[in-house]
Amino acid sequence: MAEQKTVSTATQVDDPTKRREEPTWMKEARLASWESYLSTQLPGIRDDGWHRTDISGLNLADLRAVDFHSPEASASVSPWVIPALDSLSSHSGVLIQEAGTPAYLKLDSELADKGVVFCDIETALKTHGDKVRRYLGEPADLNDDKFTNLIKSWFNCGLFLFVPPGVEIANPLLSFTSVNYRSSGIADGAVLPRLLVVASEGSRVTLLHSVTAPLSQAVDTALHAGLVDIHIEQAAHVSYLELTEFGPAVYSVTNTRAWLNKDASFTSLTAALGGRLVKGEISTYLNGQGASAEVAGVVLGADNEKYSFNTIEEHNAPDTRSNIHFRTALKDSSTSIYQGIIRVDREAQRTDAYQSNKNLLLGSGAKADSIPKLEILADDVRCSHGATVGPVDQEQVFYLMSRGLTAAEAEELIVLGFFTTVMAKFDHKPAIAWVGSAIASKLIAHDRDSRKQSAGEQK
Amino acid sequence: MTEKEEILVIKDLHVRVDDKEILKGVSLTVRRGEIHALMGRNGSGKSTLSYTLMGHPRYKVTAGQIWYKGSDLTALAADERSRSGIYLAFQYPVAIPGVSVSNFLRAAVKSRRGTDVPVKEFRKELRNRMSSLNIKDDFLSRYINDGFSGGEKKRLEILQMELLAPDLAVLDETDSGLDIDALKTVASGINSMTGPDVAILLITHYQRLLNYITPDYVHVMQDGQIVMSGGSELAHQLEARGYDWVAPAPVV
Amino acid sequence: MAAEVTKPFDLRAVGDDYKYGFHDKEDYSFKSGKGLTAEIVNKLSAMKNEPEWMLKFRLRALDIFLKKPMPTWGNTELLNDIDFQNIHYFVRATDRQERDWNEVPEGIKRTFDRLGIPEAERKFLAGVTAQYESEVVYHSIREDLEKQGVIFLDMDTALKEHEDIIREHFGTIIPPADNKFAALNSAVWSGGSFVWVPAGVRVEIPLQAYFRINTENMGQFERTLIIAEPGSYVHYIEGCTAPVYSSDSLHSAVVELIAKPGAHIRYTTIQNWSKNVYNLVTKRAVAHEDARVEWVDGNLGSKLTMKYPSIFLVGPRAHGEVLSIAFAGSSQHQDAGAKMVHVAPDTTSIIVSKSISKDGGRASYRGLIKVYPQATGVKSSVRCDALLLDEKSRSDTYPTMEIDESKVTIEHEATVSKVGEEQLFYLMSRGLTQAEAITMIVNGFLEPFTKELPLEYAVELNRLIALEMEGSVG
Repeated sequence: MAEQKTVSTATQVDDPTKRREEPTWMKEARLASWESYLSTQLPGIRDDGWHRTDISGLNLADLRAVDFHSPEASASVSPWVIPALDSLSSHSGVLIQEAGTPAYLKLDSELADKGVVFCDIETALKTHGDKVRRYLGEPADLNDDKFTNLIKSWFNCGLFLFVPPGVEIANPLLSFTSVNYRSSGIADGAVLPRLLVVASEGSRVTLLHSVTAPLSQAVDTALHAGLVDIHIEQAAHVSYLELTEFGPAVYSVTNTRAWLNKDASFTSLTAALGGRLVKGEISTYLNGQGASAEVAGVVLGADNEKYSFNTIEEHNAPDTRSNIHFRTALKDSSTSIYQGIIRVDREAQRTDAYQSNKNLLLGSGAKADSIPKLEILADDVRCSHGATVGPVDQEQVFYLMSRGLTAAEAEELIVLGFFTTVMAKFDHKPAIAWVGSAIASKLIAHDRDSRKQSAGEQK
Repeated sequence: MTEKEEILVIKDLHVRVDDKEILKGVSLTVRRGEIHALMGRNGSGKSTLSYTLMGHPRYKVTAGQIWYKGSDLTALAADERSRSGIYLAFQYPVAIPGVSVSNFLRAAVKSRRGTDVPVKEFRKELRNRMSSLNIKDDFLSRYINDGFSGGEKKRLEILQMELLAPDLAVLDETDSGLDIDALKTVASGINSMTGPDVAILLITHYQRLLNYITPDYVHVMQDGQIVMSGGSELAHQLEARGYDWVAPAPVV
Repeated sequence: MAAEVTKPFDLRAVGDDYKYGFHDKEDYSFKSGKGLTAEIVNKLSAMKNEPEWMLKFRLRALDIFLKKPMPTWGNTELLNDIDFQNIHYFVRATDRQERDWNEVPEGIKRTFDRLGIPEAERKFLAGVTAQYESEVVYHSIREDLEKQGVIFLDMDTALKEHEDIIREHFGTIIPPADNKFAALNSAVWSGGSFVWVPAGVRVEIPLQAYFRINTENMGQFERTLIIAEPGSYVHYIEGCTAPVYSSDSLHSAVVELIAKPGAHIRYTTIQNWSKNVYNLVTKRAVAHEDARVEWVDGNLGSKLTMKYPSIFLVGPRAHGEVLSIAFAGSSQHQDAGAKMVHVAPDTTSIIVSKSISKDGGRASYRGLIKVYPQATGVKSSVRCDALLLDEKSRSDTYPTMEIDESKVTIEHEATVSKVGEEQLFYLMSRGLTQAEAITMIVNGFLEPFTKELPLEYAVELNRLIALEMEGSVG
């Protein structure tokens, strides 16, 4: 059984470096962030980025960091990953992290020979300290919020991906993280992954990262809080996909940050398909001339799930380009808040930035807030945004019904189409199909459940 | 000759859209194997009749009846009407971004035929029909009507009609916005549909489609009613003499 | 207040004598000490001979003002520069006459020149003369209004003559606790307009504050209340395109509109305060069943403007519109926007906002669309466009949509761009200078706004924009 550690309580402060065989500099960084954690407040609904996002129901003091540590690696793939591996059969590496089970790691030997590093974060600290120290050993940032501090001090899983200069990896690297609370016997657990991606000059890589906490859980509260840092050097390209599927007890707070150098490009797709409260922030810093980012998000809410996403695009250099497409479909009484900001610095002339947020309200209790912001300090720019909130277009439903589809089938098809146009921005087709089928399963399973429920009510 | 089945019987139909009465007592009987042309000025209620036949929720029947294959149609939803063999080719087909034409066609055909068609077989059928309609292959991976030209939209409507093989096809201004080549293609598509069991209701503003398709009956609509009916010669008379010949333009 | 813009009357036609004829001596004058205390509010109210309830209202508001913190959003840097201790909260009209024409900044004088503002008006606009009476002209208009039963008075007079109506409605749309500046206004308000339109009455000519203008209208803390009874219509116009020079650094008005069932109120504002002024205004309307309210809001001057005309759509099928422009020039921040609060079903709203930033100016759109649960069938559309004319300027868009009902259709679109090079090239290829071409493009950009103005205002605004484009406005 996995070991449990207290994350925090005022009276019983634990040491995040205990029982970890890590370099001293890492321990120091963890402790520094822990200090900051203890002195920062939980964000409130009026704080920047947390508009009407109430996380006060989460009592961090009750949580314990799940232990992912395992003395040896697993030789076999866990069964729950197999369907995903089938749909993503062409890949260059796989990392599976599961609480209470040894990690599984595979990387094409050809890539390893070229100097590509792809491993869990614990291994990275042991064997690639020189490569990760620059990023993980940095002093605590005063701007870090409570959750970022928590992850920096207590991260218990995650990965390190390093691509040497000029190396182009055609097939994606896959990362699966799962917490099966019941089988691991962990209640009130915190999964705190830290992902570090470094794409050196002229390299190319695609990382698909999926986190699941199986859906029917007899757990009061669980937390997933992740920090994903992506450094994209000159003329390098990173595609990053994150798929999260959580059960109704799980709070999720993810902070994804990408730094783009000259002529670098970044494509990201975030898919959120469940959780009690799913909060995500995706920041893109276009720091080099000619950098470009394509950021997409799809959220499918049901029941009483709550979603809150922020996207931040900072154009800090000339000739940079960004496209944000964030789409939400909400069934039942699920709610969503989207905030997006495009900031264009005075130096960032000839910026081309677009931000779109569309919300489909499918359930009668569904609610959506949208706050698309622009702050523009350069004049030679093309910046625009659009946001819509509304139900499914009844003319579309009628058209499909006139071709024989039932109202439910028509809605399913329209919702899938609504997501497809945005997912199509991601540059790896099998991954799109993989996420698409996850969305379709949720839509169909949910429709079936609600039909059953209403049939039951009629009896 | 035995009379064919009366597939559609409309009696004194009154329809409201957003509290405005558009149809004010339409009566029309269509038998299997017949082609009816419904003509009239813009705003005379032709499209309202087509939407009402397909069961658009915004179009409310306030009086009268619609009988289809001997049973009352008015309570059926659009998908039930479609599965029972009614087809409407839309004047302005709506775009549905993200939904590919091929996925959509498979779903529609499955619902009409009640069974999944094997992919290979379906592809083959599709390609044959597409080539006769001059539709390019890449059509299938595009999204429904999204960024389609006027002609492409109309051809997709005809393609669907052929695939769904309706018993009653209502074509709403299918000729509008087409150049002469596209018009010929579409007309031959419609002609290939005709047969002893299929009834067609052609809604058109101009006579030009009727150069390629000869209707058995022509009806003229005016202010929500059918004010004149006749044979195919009526269309030519209308073309020559204009709608004022039937009834003066309503004073606005 | 240029004569050209104020047909049906032309001041110059009145003759030269008039120039000297409007010196209205007050018996006494009062100037409050610096800083705001209950004593000042007491004195102010006593001097106005106000009823007890109004004094209480003022004192309660003062209390709120003193306790409420400054807003923590918007341009907090500039806001925190306001020195409340260093403001005269009440100045009698006669005191203002003391300013010398020579003190008026050259830029302002030059702009008057270029706009062709008559001399008498210039002095009024510059705050050199206090009273600018147009009694003669206004008289006939007033007679027409009286026949229809319309009340149109300055707020101080209205409080004396129609105390009951005012007591019933005053401060009900914008309570003093709404925000710090509404509280300040509630404590020390003076002047402003009161309009009451009886049921079913359509007031065909726009009511202009200009008709009865005096210093108090141009005052720091004006208070306007417009009540349109069921089925009535009124268009009220506030301000003018010419720059209004004021040495008062803080202007904080409150405007409340009540559109009862089926009523229609249009409120047009063109404000062009001199560039030392903080213009912090609270404007809010309530639209009942089937009512319609439109704010047409133009913001040109001031150092910092914060103004977000709001409409609470509380009755089914009520409709609200805000059409606004903001022009932010050198060292100006126009923080303007609109709020639509949909409380009732089938209510609809439209917001169109246009902003231009130039010479380091900053224009911000800040807006809110709020839909309450059960407000089904709501439709709302927001369109914000910003033009940036040089690399020193800044544009922000901060819209918020809080949608708590699912059967609604909400759309928001915003763009930020510079003047299109193709457009510029096209016009210049037809012989226009670059400046002329830009001015023409800017005027075209603002056209959705200007076309909603009475013709004379539109002409005047275009001319003013042309001057702003040359950078020659003081």
